[in-house]
Amino acid sequence: MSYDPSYRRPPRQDRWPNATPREPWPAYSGADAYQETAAYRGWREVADGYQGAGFQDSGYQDGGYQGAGYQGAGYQGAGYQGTAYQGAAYQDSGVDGYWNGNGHDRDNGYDRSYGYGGVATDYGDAWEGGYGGYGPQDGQDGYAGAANHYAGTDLAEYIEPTPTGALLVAPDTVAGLPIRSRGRERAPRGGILAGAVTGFLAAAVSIGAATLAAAFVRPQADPVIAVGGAFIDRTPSAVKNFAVEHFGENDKTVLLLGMYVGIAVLAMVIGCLARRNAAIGVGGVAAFGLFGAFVAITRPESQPTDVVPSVIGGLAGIVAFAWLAWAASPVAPTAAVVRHTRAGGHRRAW
Amino acid sequence: MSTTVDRRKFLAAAAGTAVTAAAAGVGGELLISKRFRVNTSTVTLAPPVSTPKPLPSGGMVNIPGLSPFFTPDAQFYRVDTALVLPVIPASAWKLNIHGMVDHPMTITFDELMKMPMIEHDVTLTCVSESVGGPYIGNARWEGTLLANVLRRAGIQPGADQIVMRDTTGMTIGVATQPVMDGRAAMLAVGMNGVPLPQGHGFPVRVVVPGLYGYVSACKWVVDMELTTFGAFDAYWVKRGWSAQGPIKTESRIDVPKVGASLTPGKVAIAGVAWAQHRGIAAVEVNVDGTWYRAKLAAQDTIDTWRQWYYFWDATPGTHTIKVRATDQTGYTQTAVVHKTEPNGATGYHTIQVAVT
Repeated sequence: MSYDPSYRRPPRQDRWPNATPREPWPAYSGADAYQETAAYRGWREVADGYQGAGFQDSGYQDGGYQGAGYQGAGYQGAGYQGTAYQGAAYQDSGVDGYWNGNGHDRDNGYDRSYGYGGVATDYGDAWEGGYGGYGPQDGQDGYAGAANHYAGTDLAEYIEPTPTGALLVAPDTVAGLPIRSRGRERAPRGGILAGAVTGFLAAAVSIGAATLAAAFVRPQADPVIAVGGAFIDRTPSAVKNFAVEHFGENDKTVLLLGMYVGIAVLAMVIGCLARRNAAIGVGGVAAFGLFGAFVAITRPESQPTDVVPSVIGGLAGIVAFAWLAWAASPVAPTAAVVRHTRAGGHRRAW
Repeated sequence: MSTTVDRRKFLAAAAGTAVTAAAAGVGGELLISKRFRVNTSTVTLAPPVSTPKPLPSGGMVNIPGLSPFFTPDAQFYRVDTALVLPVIPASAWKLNIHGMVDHPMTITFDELMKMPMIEHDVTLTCVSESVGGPYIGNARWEGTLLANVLRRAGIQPGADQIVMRDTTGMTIGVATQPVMDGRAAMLAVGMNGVPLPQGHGFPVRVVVPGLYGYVSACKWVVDMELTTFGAFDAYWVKRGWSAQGPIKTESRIDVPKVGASLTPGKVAIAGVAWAQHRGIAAVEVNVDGTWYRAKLAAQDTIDTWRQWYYFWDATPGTHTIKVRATDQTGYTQTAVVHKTEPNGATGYHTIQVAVT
């Protein structure tokens, strides 16, 4: 299967614990492990051979890993045995050697087989450390160069999985591709109602405060009145005629009622959206206020002080929203609770 | 998890904000209604130098369901774009006259009240008055002739439009000619014997007999600019309505109501007819295809509507009733049905009734 890493990001390490074999897992994580094993010493001895021909030209098969080094150290015994390493990569890699041939090549080798890629996060660290240790050793030029190459091309993916990195899937979860994007965790149930109520009440406080402020400026400065007036001025004649003929002199009442309903619906939608990101709620209320202020001072015969009710209304709405959002947020759960929740448990939002 | 605590906390906060919002909103509205309601009783109308002749006997017909000759203030139609009524204390009112005039001038309310006041009965009609619609009302207006004020400013030749503005940015463009031709176009300060209600333009509005309101009846007027129709399109003209709007000769059936169930015998068919500044000459009622001459109330002025009635000997069955008016120029209203846009609806008001 092909795999485009540009839109799939590797899962977090803790999302696929199965990638890590129970045991035994070779002690890659430090150079010490290598140095203490006989395998390492054996490999180093063989490495001279690599420099000359083996590594680049004839690859591992001749005298490399299988012969002395890795096999003894437990590569085959544990990690590599899984899928990729043995199956496609090292053993088959003949002429082209490590990089472009069957081994590291993304299409044929580690990545595609998922095996090597799967363990890459830890593995990359291990390689880095390991090679760092090998570097000073005699006759490691070829290998060190290879290691650099490794770092230059693939290492970035291996060591620090980034959103554009290579596939990092445990060998035993290939079929399922249990990849989930960050931030798509389900919102707590019941949050929709709380969000709608939060948005509605924040809007109500905003409008109420604006009305109160307008009482000290002038009624036309009320943002709802100002926007309603602007709406009247921009209403097509057909709609206006319809309103006059069907609602008569209640047309203004109907208009204001419609505006209040529209604001309420919009506020409830924003309130729901703001459950996950409070900035949406704050921004929504602020946008309401700014829009009202803009309309109020661009009305004909407006005065500069006409912005005051909108600004006060917006600020009051933000405060109300923040308070309600805080009240609707659950008590900070402990890590254990979070884990329990993510593992399928449920908790009530409010 | 402490679900109970969360819920209680949120509900408490919600209740708190709800109460806050309601208190602020209701308090604000109360404060607004207290602070921004003008006291029209601060204005004392001066006795007019010219009062209308007493209504001729038979000028008013009293048939149940028929529109009264003078429309009560509470029932007088109000069509405007002001979501909030403008508040202009009479003491702060000024009318600024500028544009194509020799002497741009400003007149205060006190100065206006010192000018000779007249009283005149004028029926106002909205251009949105569809056939048989409600947007028409008759009142006795008190004010001073607008022509006298404009003559002091000195209208320059070619100024064929007066653009009037209120305090909300509304612009009403009225033709100069009908204002200056001697009809009772006035700056009105009183309506039916009392200062103008706030919803009808306190402290000063314009009334021009014979023109639809959208091209004449500027409420809360504070500014007049003499200009031309070529130079400026007023608010409604920008929105597709005609620049000039003389009121069309029309008539309406008030009783019986549409779909009324009647008993056989003598049934009053009654209504109003109007052709302001031309005057109504005749009204005819059509029952099932036959025209009958209706009786007219005596004419007050040519600027008012006239009530009419016809006693019909109803027979069982379903009947169609129409009405048409003829004005004093001899023009009979057209049967062609037209919507209100762009300069007023036409057609016969037609109703159907069942007699059982």
